[in-house]
Amino acid sequence: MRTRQLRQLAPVLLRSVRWQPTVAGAGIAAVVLVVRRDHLAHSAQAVLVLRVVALLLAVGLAFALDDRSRRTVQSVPAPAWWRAAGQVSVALVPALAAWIAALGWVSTRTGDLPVLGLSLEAAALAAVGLALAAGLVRWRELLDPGAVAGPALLVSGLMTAQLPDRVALVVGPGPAWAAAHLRWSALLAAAVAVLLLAVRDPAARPWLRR
Amino acid sequence: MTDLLVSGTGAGPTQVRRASGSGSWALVADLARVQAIRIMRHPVFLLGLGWYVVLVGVGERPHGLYAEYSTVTGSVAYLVGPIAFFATNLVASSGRRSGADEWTPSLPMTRLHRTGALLLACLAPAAFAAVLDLAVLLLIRSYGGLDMHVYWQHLASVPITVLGGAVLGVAVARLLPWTGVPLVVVVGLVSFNLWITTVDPYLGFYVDYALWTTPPDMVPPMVPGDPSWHLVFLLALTGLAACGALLRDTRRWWLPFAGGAVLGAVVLVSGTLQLA
Amino acid sequence: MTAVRVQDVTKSFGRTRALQGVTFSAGVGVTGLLGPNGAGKTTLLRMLATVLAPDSGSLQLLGRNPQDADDRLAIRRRLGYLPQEPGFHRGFSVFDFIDYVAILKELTDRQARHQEVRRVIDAVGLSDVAGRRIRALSGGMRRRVGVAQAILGEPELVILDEPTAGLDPEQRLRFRDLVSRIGEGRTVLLSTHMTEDVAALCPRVVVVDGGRTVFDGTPSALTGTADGRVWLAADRDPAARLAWRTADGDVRNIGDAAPAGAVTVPPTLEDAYLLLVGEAAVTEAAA
Repeated sequence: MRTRQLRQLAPVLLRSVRWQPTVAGAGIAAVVLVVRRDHLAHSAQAVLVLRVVALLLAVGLAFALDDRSRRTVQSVPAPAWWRAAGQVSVALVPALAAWIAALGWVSTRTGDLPVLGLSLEAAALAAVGLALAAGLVRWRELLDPGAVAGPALLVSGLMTAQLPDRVALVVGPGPAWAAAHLRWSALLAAAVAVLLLAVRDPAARPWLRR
Repeated sequence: MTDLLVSGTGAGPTQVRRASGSGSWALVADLARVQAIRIMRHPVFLLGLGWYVVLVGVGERPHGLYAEYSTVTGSVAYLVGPIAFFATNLVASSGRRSGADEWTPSLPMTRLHRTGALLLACLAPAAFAAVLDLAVLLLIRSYGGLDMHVYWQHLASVPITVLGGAVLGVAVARLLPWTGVPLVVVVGLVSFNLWITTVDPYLGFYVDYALWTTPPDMVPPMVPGDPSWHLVFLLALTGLAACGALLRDTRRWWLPFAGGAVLGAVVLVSGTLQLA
Repeated sequence: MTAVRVQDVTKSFGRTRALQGVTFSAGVGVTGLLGPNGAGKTTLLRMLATVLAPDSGSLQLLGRNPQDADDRLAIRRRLGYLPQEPGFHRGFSVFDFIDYVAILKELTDRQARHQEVRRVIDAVGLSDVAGRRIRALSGGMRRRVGVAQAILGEPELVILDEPTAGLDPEQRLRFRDLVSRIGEGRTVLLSTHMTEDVAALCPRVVVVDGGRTVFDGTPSALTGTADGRVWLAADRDPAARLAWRTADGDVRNIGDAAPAGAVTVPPTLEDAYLLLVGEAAVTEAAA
């Protein structure tokens, strides 16, 4: 039933889901890559540029849960988490394509690129953006959470670069890399947990009864 | 048609004092106060402040005169500027996003008044940045740091930069009322600032006034240029953004247009005079 | 079967207690839900629409427990809901949007689904604008789009929150006809501020005030509670709880008891409602 629904919903989701901010983020990321192409030979510069790309894509993805019809369809049989997954999937396609293309292009210009680590960071940023958006939908009942989640993620991304060494997330390839990516993994896990909590059916039995 | 007489004490309906047409401007200050509170309590502003508290809490003290000088004259602007931009933008665009813009045109307080109030409200985050910056300065000096002369112009640039960011947030909400545009603007501005400061440090909005030098506790030389004219440059940019914010809100559009043209000239002149 | 059973349901949002022990039941037919602003009507309807869970108390819809995931799915398959502020994808046409909701309601046979979409569009009188974008429609027409999606799939339980808001008198009459037809063989819960709608449509009315049920019975029984408590006078009577000047020039007074010698008049449902909900309604009516 859900598969059949998804097939029929696909053209509707393409019209209704806000994938345009993700594509715009990818466009700006492409500009950044082109402008900085001469600096990509150094792996530190390449890592920095790809982090900027990841942040731009994640900010665009934060708009994927915007849905003006949410109140109208909140009591349909298709569960909230399933609808959210469908919306995110539509926006995720251009984001993933852009990320893979960026990684591929940069890796042709620089020798040693920590692809897994950077992809973990990108995934964590995307998850944080979606968790912010889903939280705003669930606990603030916003129909267009992207307008707030996007700036919040961008601000957080800028602030993250200022964290001191002992809790740094933004480090170059080197001795601190592994520890920083343990922290990225924890961030990803926390964001996914918040996301799952936020898309849980509001009518389900509360975990904590008063 | 029925008249309704409310039961209770038998007193008549409460008389409501209405401002006359020119009195709407008197109410702008009242509205500005309300909007200032909305801006300072906005989740994005509070998130940014939360981040600042976290960074101060987990961060180490700046070591050396260069790092201390940079902290006092730039880091507050760097951190508070973007959050002020987004908070004022979201407050300014909340009417459009919520649909309230459909009924506000029928109010006696025009959009020009409401935009004026928003621009006045931008003073709140700027004042907050000034207080925060002074607190940082006092804190550093309390443990014996920053034992050198601090240019007042460098300190003043912090609240003015934040003011400019906040006013720009209102201008973007009024001139470019589409979802996602504020993000593009910030990305563009940060990118532009990173590039332009490699051409000339004084041409950016966020200037790292102290030059890096070794050893770190040696008094750093300052970026060459005139900090007073840089303040004028920043103020003129802020004024330019304010004129942009008002451009579409008045039938007398030529007034903010002319003001913007004058301020644009001031930007060019002060931008030239600030350079070494 | 009694489609809706609500027993001592409570719900709080932070420090605000929206519902403080609501109890009622509703079966086949149209049940009106009246109450002043802030009474908890929308919160109650959202629970009945399986959008919110109660903090305590029990809720049974169509014989099932909405807090159980499988039961909730089964309920939603037989439920239609019009929220107080429905939202739409405004770039969609009327047909496209209702078709979208129909897919979400698991009407996956395309031909049958389109037939059903056309049926509900016709039922709400929007056939002429089915291809028009929702953003180009008036507020009343958009509300009719909301009603149309609520009756998709012939649901057994239909919950309508302020369905006549924004409708003109002719549209309200059409709507009453629609609701009374829907109510034949189905359970319809209708929340409204318009006592005329309740009087015209609802064999039963539940009044909610301050998060509690304060009346549950027939409109005539509710009206009967105001017998002898409504009178006309040349001026406002100090003994009245509420008074207003009518078009005839007299002042209609309602209060605890008409004074001796006063010219009492048959009460309306609105008079009885205003007397029942007390000061909250007085403040609301004055506003």
